[in-house]
Amino acid sequence: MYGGIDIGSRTVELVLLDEKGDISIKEMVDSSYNPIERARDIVSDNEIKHLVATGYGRYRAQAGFADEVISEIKAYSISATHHYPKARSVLDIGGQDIKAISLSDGDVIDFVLNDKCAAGTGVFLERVADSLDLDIEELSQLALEYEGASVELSSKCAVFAESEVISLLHSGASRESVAQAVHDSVVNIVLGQIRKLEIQGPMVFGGGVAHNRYIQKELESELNYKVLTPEYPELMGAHGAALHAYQKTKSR
Amino acid sequence: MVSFEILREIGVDVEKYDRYRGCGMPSHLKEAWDENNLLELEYFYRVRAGEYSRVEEIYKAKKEGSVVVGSFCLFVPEELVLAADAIPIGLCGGSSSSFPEAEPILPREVCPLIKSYVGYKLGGICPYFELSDLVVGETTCDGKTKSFEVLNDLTDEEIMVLHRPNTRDQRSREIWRDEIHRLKNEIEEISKEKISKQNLFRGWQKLDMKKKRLQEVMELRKQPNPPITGLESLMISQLASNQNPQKYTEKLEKLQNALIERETPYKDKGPRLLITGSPLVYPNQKILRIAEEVGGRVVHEEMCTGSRYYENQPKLNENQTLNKMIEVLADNYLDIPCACFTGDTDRTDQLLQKIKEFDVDGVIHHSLRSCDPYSLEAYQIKNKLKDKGIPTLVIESDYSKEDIGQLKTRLQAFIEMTK
Repeated sequence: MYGGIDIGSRTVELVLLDEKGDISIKEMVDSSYNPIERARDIVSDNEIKHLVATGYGRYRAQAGFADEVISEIKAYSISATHHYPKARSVLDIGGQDIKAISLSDGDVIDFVLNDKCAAGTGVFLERVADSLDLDIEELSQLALEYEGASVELSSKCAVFAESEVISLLHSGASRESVAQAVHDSVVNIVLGQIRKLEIQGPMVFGGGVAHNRYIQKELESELNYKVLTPEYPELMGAHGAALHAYQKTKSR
Repeated sequence: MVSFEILREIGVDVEKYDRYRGCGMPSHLKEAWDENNLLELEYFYRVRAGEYSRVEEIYKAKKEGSVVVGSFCLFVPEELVLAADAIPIGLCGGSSSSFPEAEPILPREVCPLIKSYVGYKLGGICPYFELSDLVVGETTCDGKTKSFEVLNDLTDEEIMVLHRPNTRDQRSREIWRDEIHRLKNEIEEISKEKISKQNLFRGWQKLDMKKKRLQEVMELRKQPNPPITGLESLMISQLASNQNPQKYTEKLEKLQNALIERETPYKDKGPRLLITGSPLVYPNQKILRIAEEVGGRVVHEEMCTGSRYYENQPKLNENQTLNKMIEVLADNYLDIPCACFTGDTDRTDQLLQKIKEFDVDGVIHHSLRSCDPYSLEAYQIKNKLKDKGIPTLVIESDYSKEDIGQLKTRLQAFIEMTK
């Protein structure tokens, strides 16, 4: 089998492809305090001909057990093009970062990563969900359903947003309106990143936050092109790495 | 190692010096040194590691009557200092180790270079600062301009500030020539040496030999298989403004001869990269080091600790009058391609020329955080180079370690894209 492992800040994902290049095994665990050991654990149960690592832990994985490393940018692009050959761009909103990638015939021609800050990422949503005593699905569901007057969240920082949420609630804003405000804030931050590039659609949207229908819908209406989400958006990094392992081994 | 008695005598806070000096051999350089053991590079590695301090040499020279002129910027012509038999020295500003000294005074978001040197001075950590009889500052950006006021207020350092004009038109050139005259007078006064045309010519010759030699070494990297890595080259360039000119030039000459025979130290034929932007001041090598760790080959540094130091050398000749010499010097220095100018910003054309000469596949535009001139020019450079088919990666960073993971991802993705 051909493996791809994505060792991220929040989760570790493993994808294994069979001889036809189809996904035969997929796994996802929390990174916990020792992501490399978590990665080694889920790899060691399998026979892997070639293992490609990506994500923040990729170099440590290479020193330990992986055969090769590629950047998350490349991994996401490979997976996106595999799912949607006509994709012109990729957006990944992960646990702690945002990546926007511009593609031409499947090749990366430009990209941006957010600054060293969790604004607009999964952590940002999680923090706010916590302070509203909701889980992340409930938070997005509230945002989708809310149709009243909108409120604005001015802070872009995950830490400060939490205290702003509390003061909004104290000033009488409803939980629903705050849930929507938080999502709008994420959408604005993400659009700011995307617009740094000359980016076109269709766009493939990956990473854990791609499950969020509100954000997907808002992005589509702001960008005026298709924003497509594959079946397992959080596995795109590992899947792209596995496809790279597959293609490389097969072409030898 | 320099003796603590001397340090104490010149006014260094020895305890802080021992704790905070940003010197020493970091593990990545130690590895590089172990791998490519070229004897002729040893001197540079040892200086880099802080083993050959110049403190004692300068201390003795001062006892014999020499004066020391410290500066932070290429706009201060070393020729004039050498002409008065004084010692020019580049001051410390490349490490975050002195930040705690500056943080109570400076705003949080100030450029790390400024925070660093202000910290070094306030804490009495940098011996070269303490050895300086005159510190020459300049108005190359707002942060620096105001930082010299802070140092003037809080320390007893003698600081002269050169007023660098914002454009290079005729009126600006006149102002700048006046400034260089003012610097000449100041150096004459503190050194009690008259700067004659003969002295200036001799000072220029010393520097010219050094810069030409440095340029020749750096241009060996035009070859398809560069005989020296970007990391080694940056290490050498970073030391250019604070080593003994004669010794440094001799070592460069030996290195140059050795490099002609040397096989390329690069294991892979990664993309050829050019780094431009804010200076990478000793000991900061972060961006360049990561770029090479993830498979790039850095073949040129278009920055103050790179080509801007050794290129565009003024041409003086003995038949010129002293005034003419100063005019030539001033005009040449004003042409240093710093992003702080407006009006005739031809930095892209100069970059394109270098991209051709060094067969560059991709450009890294690096600015220090809060460095407005470079971070604001980044989009212009990126777009203009894009029109010519040259990919550019724009990076903003500082002296911390917290963004190393992100930088690795960006640089690796850029290298994958440039291949």
